[in-house]
Amino acid sequence: MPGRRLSPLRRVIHTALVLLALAWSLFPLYWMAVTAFKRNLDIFSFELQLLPTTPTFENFANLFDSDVPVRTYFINSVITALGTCLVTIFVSVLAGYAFSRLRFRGQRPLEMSMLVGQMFPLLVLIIPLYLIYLRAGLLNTNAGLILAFCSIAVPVGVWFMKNFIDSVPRELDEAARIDGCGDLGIIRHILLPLIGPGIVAVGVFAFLEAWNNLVFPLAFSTRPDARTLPPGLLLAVDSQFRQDWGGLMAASILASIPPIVGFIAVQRWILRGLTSGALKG
Amino acid sequence: MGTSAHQLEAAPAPFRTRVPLAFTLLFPAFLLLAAVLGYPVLYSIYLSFVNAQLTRPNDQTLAGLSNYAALLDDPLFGQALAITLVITVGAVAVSFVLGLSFALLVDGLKGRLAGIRGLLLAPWVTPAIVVGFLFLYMFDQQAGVINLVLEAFGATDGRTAWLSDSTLSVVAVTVATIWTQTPFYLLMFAAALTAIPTEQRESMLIDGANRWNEFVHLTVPYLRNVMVVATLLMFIRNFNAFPIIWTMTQGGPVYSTSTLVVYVYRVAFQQFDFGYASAVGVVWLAVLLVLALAYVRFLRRTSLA
Repeated sequence: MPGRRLSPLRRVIHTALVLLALAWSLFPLYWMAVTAFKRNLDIFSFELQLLPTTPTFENFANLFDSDVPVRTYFINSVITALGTCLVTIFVSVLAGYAFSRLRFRGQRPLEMSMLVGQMFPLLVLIIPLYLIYLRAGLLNTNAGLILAFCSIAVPVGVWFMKNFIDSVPRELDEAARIDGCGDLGIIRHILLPLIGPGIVAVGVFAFLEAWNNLVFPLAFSTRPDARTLPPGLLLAVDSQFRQDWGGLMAASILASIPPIVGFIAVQRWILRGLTSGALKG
Repeated sequence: MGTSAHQLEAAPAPFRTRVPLAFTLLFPAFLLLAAVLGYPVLYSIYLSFVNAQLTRPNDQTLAGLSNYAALLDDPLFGQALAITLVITVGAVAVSFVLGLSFALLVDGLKGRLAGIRGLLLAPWVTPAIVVGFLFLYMFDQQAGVINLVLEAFGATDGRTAWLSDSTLSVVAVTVATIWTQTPFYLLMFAAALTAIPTEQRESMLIDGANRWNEFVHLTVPYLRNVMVVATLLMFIRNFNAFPIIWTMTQGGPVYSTSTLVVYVYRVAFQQFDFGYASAVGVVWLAVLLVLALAYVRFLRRTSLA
């Protein structure tokens, strides 16, 4: 293990293994990026081209003026992800406050139901939800998708928010209470400024769960103009992107940008919440 | 959490017991979850006892236990169960070993090198559907880089049809799953490694322990809880895995990569048999519930200890 003195041979082996780990983790992503800038001719040249011989932007340009309404998918993805994000933040802050600061009958089972809810098999939900949505007129709507995405994001969001509020000393709200603040006042004036990072983390998590979800829109959005990016691109694999790897990789990069930006923005909080949630319960 | 030390110093303020307020604050969250989780689950159990076809949504007749009886006679159900176990055990075992190795490799990297840890997390951040596309492309028979590399090394003739072979397709989706899940173990183990007290490590070395002894007698005991937690979580997650498999093979060729959830989807949305699909789903739900309860119980036990 590094951090203490290593013999030269061990140092070389250690460095080689680290490089190997990096290659395993990053090569597929590198290959995606390189392919997106290659001409179709080069992609099918049957030789290993680690860099595009003739770099081109045509794969990206084609993305937005093809038969596949990528623009519509993209807009639907943004709307449903933002909607899921806002709903999740709202209900998680309120429920997180109740779980963290109040004591009431049945609290333990209710908290545990949030943990169990995180492990729910989505696939089992789509069958009843499909029939419910059919009757309620929610198929092919963004509102229907937002509700479905919340079934994944809310249990995690509430749990995370409870842990986050637990980390704010209770003396602060007691002091505010003596100054005449009610519970909602405490949430607004004392907690909101302090749990800002937690709210961002929950928001980003909810956004990404919605953004990355394939199952729900695949089942609930039958009309092309109601699809989000994942099912839209997937269905295009069999038509537009058939044998068009450059186009598919360009679309993949488009779909990866929000997750990567979001993760870099909040990685500190996500990592902390993930480990403390798992280790401390 | 960071401020717990502060909490310990000050005498804790009393918690407030106010049931109506708690009810009001919890109401939005639980209303939402009742609508999109609770009710659908109950409805799903109901559906498993009726004949329900997607093509005739309003024509549902009671079927008694016949959907469940059909499970026993369905060879595809048994096959789906077996494939789920093969992919899950394979993915969890390899990700576990790789993630632990990566965590040990980057443990103690400081300064600019600490960024390596972040880079190793990249596969975890990649959306599942993109992971699927990526490996669909890399395993492609004609243009895939895996065949190109294998051919360059002379290992094969470079024409392996990974995704249309019933065994190799299972390998391909398992590799894609391992790639994207390894960082999760890395993350869990890396965090746990930082919790090992350096004094203890040093005193072991003074006593003449070699690296292997240190690993077995110090590192492993410290990581044991994390190992159990992470593995349970990964079992649950893999039992529910859908997007990577669906993107790469749609459960095919034929049914060779149809895990249980993929099978449920195919029965429901390709054969339109909602009743039977619900029965399969309910059985699976019971299995996952047992795993989830085991997970929660383990967390409670370790957090009390």
